[in-house]
Amino acid sequence: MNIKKILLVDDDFDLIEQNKLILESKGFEVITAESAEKGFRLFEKELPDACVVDLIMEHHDSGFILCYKIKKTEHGKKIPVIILTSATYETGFKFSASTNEEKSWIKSDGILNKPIVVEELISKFESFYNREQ
Amino acid sequence: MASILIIDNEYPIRKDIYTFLTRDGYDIRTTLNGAEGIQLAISNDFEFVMIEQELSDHDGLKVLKSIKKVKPETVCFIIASNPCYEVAVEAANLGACSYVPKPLSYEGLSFHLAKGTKHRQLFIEARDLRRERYNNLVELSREKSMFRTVLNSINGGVLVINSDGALVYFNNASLVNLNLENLEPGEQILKRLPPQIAKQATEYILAEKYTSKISEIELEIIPKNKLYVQSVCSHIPRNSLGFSGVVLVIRNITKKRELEQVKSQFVSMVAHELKSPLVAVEGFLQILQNSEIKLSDEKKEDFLKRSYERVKSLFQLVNDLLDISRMDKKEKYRELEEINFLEVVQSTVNLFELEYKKKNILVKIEDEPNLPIIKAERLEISRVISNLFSNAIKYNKHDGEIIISLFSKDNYLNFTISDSGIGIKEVDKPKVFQEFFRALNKQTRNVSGTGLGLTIVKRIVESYHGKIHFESEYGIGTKFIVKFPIFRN
Repeated sequence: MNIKKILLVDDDFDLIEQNKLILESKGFEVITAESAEKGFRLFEKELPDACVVDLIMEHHDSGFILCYKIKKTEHGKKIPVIILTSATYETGFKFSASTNEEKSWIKSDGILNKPIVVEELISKFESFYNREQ
Repeated sequence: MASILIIDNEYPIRKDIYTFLTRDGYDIRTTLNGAEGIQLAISNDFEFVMIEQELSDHDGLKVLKSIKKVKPETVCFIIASNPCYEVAVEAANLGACSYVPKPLSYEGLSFHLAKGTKHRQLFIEARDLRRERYNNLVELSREKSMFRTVLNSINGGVLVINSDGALVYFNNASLVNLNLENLEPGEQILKRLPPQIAKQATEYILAEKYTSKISEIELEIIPKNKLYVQSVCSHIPRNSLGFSGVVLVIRNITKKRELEQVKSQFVSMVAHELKSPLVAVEGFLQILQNSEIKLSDEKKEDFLKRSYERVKSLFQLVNDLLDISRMDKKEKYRELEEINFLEVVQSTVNLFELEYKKKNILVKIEDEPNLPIIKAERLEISRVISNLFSNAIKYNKHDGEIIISLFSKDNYLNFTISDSGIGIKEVDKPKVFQEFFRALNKQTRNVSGTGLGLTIVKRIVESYHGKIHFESEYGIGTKFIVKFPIFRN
């Protein structure tokens, strides 16, 4: 696995700063954006090695849409995109892909609960790259 | 006392017979003229009428016919000087009780009158029975039509199915609620019903004995929440254990379901909004505890301060939520008082003095003399003003201004509050009153809020039949216009 640069997209500034610190302490370079739109622009410009995207930003599904857009690019297909959420099943929103159609549409490489547990995140990255090889 | 009318050209009965009949309780009148006889018989209630077959001005049978037509209950006799078989038959056909040959004897008359009395009783009984039967039929058809009218007026669909699966009855709403074009009484209905309802009804039809239990199912008739119904099935009892069929009641529950979805979505949003600040606080605490992450003292202090802010916002959110839930119930029993709006504005502005002075904001209040009174709960009005005023401070720039103006127009007390703040972007405008909506951009990143403030304002204003809207230009400022109906004594 050769991940250096991670793109972090979240509309909560506190969480951006926290996750940035945590990931940096593990030796990653972290670039951040506070909206899906800016996130995509940064992705195109910086071509990061992995993306961590918050689900609910401007809209309930901003994270899914950003993930879809990233995965449609040439570079996006080669890197893991993980969706991050504080709203899971118990809040009533449907945040996981349950049908094949949804799975094929969303294309994320994993959904993780907030706050980030770095080990979990890294293992998601690893399994992505292991699959790719 | 029974009365007799005798229509005859000649004085028909002997004096002694007349005396005997009078003694027996009969009241006797006579006339020599057919035309007068008809007139008398029609306008009085004679029990018996005796008509001479050959009157000088009339045919006795015609007189009989005329009387019977109007007074069918009157017992008529034809008396004949020249009895004739054919005439007797015709008289009987026209409704004569007897055909009596002259001369009349007391015994003969008594016999015929007794027979006539019986005849009359039977006639009256038959007539009363006919009337009763007629009334019963009218009543029945009235009940039937009432039953139909009621069933057709109710909003729920009603289908009655017999134990062979044939449709016995259906009302208009059943067609609408099942989205069916038409139904025919007597048709095999189960195959026409949605499979779930057909299954529900079949279980009842095939049951071995009557049950008082009902079964309820909910199903979609037209997809995408266009038509959603509840189907309630029950037995129609017959004698002790049997049943004669099933009745299905189909209710349209689309609205109710929509409400449930809105409610559950609201709960999900609330859960998400409650979780977000908790996640942020947890994150700060984890970092502060994490020995791998080196932080300066200032950074540590900053994180503690930010945690504290998030906790505070959590409290605010809980308070706002409680307010919203209280509002629905409150409308019913709130204590209204006459309110001087200007007074509430001034005291609210005073409450926020520290905050607007910190940003060096100039606050101007413009009012007109003799402002009308409104009737409302003081706390709610002060909530409206403080939510709008605190927004005007929070989203204002340094050295900005806030202008509050109060005036009456068209039966409304108008309260406007304009700021020289960041304004609202066009894309965000439709979402301003939406629960949990907060415009997100550089300028708002350091402003805390729950996203419920304006939702609460709108709900309060509308609960008093007031109106609220806003005008805003991004980068220039925002103006909220609130109208409360004026209270007149």
